[in-house]
Amino acid sequence: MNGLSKHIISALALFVLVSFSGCIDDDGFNDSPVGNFDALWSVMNQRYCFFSYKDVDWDEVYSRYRPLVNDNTGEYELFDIMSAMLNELKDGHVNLVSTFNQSRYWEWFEAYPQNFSEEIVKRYYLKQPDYKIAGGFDYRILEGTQIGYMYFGNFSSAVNDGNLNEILLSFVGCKGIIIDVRDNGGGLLTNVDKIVSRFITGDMVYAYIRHKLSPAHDDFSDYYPMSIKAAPDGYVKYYGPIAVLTNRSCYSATNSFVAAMKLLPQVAVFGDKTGGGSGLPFSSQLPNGWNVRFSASPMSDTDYKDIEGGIEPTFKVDMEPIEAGLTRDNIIDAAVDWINSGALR
Amino acid sequence: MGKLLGRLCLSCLFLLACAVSVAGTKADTERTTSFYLSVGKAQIKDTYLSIIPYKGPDWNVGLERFAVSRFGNHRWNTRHLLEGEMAYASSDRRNTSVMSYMLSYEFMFYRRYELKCGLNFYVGGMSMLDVGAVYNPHNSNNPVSAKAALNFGLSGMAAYRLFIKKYPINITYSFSLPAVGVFFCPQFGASYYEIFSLGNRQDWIHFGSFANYMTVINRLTIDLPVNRRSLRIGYEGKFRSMHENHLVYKYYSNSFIVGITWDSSLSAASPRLKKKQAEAGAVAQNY
Repeated sequence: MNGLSKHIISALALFVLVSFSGCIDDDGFNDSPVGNFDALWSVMNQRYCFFSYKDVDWDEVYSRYRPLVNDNTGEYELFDIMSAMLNELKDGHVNLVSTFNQSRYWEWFEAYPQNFSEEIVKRYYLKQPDYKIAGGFDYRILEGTQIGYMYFGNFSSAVNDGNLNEILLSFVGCKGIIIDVRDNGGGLLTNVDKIVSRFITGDMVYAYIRHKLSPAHDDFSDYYPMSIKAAPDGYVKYYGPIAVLTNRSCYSATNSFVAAMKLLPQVAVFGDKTGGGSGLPFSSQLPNGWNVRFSASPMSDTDYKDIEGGIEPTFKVDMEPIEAGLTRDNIIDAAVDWINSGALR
Repeated sequence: MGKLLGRLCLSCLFLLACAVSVAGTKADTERTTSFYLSVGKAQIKDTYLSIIPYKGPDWNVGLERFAVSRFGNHRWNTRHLLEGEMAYASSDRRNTSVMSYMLSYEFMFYRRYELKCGLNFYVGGMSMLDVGAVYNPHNSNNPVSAKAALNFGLSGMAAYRLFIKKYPINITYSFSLPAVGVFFCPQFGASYYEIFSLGNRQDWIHFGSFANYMTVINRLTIDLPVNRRSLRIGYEGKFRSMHENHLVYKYYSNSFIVGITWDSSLSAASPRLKKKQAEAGAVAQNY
């Protein structure tokens, strides 16, 4: 090996050593109580979408909660402080998830009548076990009526076109349909499109969505229409009277479903105001690995009004207090009466 | 990032300065093919998914073809490189993780300069197509950050052959430095539901330059003769970064390469040429 070769090998070795020394910065959020607190506050400050709508001064919130944290703050205490800070936003889509707990804000339904009893529905209306289940729907024609009833408890359920065809075919000849989405906390927005597409005669815009363009609190994109295409030919559709049943636990995608259905002329909504939850949630992680979920993209109705606060029913109906011996669900009964009365006609 | 970029550029310049200061040999085969695996460590940060960086192992599999072009009196070379990359990276506490997948195709076209004392120097243009994604299984409506970019830029290579006893050992350094192109990046808070389900595709394709999208790839390989083939060992360093729409993406990896190189022109050569090359001893090296 001559001198030149040694020189080149030395140069290459130097190059490798230099290349190996790089790293990615982490914006200064270290894995300490203060670092994690600051990371959480910063994520929300940059990406949360409802500061102005909810009139929350996030800097003021920081000034109140930050002094509670120091480098000796334990994990459980830190979690409680962070959770309390997040709950200032009063948002059901905001959660802090650790290995030992999950923060949540549930006053949007806990502070109101439940207006739903699964036991009463299943025992006295679905006549358990004499009902069918398809694609997340429990359904049957209500006994002694010509009214189809379908309960949908979770928008994350796998709903396919075949399920909807079968369910609606079973309701052929009915005077009306009741779609009960009480206690449905949301799920996939794509399921909203699938279901609503069976009840519309043409494409429709049912809401608008925006997203943030930068970390600034009010820097949003233009409103973008959320539209639903009518189900194509060959799919079973229904254009008769439809009663949608709601309570305060209708949240997120369910809120969007109600917003869409309420626009249809053959639909009336019975029950309580929905819980809201119109911010499409995103997530991020903190240096200690805790996961934070937050509302990122606000949705509004066709009048450009935010639906984060929920959607009012067409007919406000409360159930009688749910206690032993109660056998009737007067929200279902009100919907049955409305369909039977032919009020729509 | 500026420091890192500076170090990489200095490294490139240093090696190329070494390259032009010595002489070289003539490339003596038409086409060689290399297949390699590499294992290393990656660091990933993607603020669309999370504010924290992740670290973990990365694996690559690559197929490279280097050929002498008939264009320009055999002084031009083409190089194709197809590489698949996967990384599984965790947070410092290892309680949250992301997965990164990338498929890259690079095409390089070089002018060869033969220097006098055993070194070939190649310089030319390159194009690179990257398609992939970073997946964060912990997220709700932002679980994936898709990556797609088509870039054009500079590429260079320095190859030196030394002999230990009678065995030829080829040392090759190459770099790819895309300069301009186009790439995909959603707006700051846009969800993929909005982009793909609703069709809101405003401002999702961007013009890329050093100001907002940068990729630097360094490879250093040593080919050791083993019978009629060569064992390739080496190092690969990759740095990708994107700054657009207030989002930041960085991928940094160091990997060790192990592979095999063979003269793929032999398979199409005449028996007479094969015999001639066989008589020459170990397989002739391409660089």
